[in-house]
Amino acid sequence: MSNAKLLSFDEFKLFLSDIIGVAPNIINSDTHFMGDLAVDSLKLVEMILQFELKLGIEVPTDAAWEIQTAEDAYNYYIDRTQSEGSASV
Amino acid sequence: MNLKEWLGRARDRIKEFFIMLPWVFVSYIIRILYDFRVEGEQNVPSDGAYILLVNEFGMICFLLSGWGSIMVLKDRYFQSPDNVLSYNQEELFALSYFRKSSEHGGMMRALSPHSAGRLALSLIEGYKVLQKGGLVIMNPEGDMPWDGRPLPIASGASWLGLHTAAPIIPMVSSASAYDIWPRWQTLPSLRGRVVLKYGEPFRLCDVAQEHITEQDLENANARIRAVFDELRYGPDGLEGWIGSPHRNGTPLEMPVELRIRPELVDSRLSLLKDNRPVWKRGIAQLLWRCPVCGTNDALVHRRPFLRPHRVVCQACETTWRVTRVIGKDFRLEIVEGPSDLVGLNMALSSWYDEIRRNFRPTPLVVAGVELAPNEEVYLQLNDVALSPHKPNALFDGWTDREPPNIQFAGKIQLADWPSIGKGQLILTNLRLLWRGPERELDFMWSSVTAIYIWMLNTLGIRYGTAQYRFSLGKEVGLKWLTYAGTIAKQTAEQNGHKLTMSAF
Repeated sequence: MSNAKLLSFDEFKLFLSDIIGVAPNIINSDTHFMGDLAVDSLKLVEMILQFELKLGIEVPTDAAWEIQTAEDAYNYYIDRTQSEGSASV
Repeated sequence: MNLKEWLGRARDRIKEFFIMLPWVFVSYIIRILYDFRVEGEQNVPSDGAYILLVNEFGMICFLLSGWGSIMVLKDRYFQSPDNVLSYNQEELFALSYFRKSSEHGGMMRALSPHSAGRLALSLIEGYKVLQKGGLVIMNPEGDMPWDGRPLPIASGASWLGLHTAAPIIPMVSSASAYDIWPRWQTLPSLRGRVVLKYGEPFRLCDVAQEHITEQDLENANARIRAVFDELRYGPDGLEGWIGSPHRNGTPLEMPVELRIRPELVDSRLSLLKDNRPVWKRGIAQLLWRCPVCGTNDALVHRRPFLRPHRVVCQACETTWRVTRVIGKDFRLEIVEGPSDLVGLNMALSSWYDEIRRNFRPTPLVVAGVELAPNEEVYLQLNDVALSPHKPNALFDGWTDREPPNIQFAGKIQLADWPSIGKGQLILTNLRLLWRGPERELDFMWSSVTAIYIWMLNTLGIRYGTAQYRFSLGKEVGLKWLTYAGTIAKQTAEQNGHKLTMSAF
């Protein structure tokens, strides 16, 4: 799995939009999940859980507190995938 | 066993002893006073994953759920503390015991009812504990009702239950836990009977769900609600707990619908502001408006020694006699007042429904405030301390008139709400205006995403994702919550944004 192709940002947006329940075209890199998309706290939790279930990336609570925008989420995905050789979708 | 191991075990035993000691003391006190007993202890599994759901609708429930968690589950606690996670009110982390437990790897996590925001991310840890076969304890209502009735079930417990398929054990006190010590009463009554019941385990689904819909959560919440209510109220249900209205001892068949009678306000009477601290005002914290004449802050709860309590309206002189019925809602009967109402006897929660049903904010005239066209002022109060939750840009040179609506990323400082000063708070149909000594801030209702009351009279709001609190001094918190909640709800409905609120 570590050789799997990394998701592009557009592919990552599809992953996010599926969890959050919004159209992918309204997600930009600086889109704030709670501020711009009015994502409620439970959806945010769901997103972090799906990181683990679908992308194989564990997100500790302290790290999850840092993820506020789509770009934060994507950067975390890239960093962890590259450092641990995690899976793609 | 070598000496080092022996000393380690001895130290653990001593620690356990001191953790248990206060709860042993609590159990003796509640047994003596309230004939306390436990039912359904056999429903608590000795191992394996499960979710223990507690229900706290009276002040004594804090003791009962603490006792129930520690005494009954002590083996799980002491054998594998890393596999027991409990969610607690964020404010408790102002106490060093909770703060240290959280900071040093202990298994207590903070949540705030109605405004968990990013704190909810710790639900992932609950998920992992359950995956490992551990135990999660939480209160799915997240708050304590003012009138003793059930609060909406928040979705965190259902989310855990559906994602893990872990069994749920409800731990519910009998209904009398409310009338022993309701939220509006300063001290507990010294008589009553209370039972702590562990319900039969149930699952929200047979297999762990990878995807959960809003409908799944709603269905699961409704199931938890039904289980809680059955354990708490028994076969008569909530309706039986409230009871029907009476007049002069005769049950009334139709629900009573009073009309507000402002004509009864006697202008010769001077409305003396109750200057006692808000926690001493008893039922007047719940009935913050007279259900007969509609005057705000007019009721006074009088507690003569060895005689029945009375509630008196200072504006229309209507007087109620208060009766506590063990295991049921309190009863209030009009003993003086309009002749067609004398003898009317209803549950306290029914009287409270009357003031909610007839509530409409009425405009005030306030000088020196620049208002927008069509803006109306409904409430105003001086000396209100404003406390943003850290981290917040107001502490770092923020100069805009509208406060930050995004909480910075990074570690959330638990129970860290420093005040930025005291000022005048004005509630209008468009905003909450805070006029401090050095700045004015407009909290527009269109950006408010949560409203709640903390303790008795601190109004909390989530503004976008940033959190703020207003300390209301001697004002009744439920009054401000009702005004703020009514207006914010109308605004949210017009704008289509999501709003969560304490029940009022």
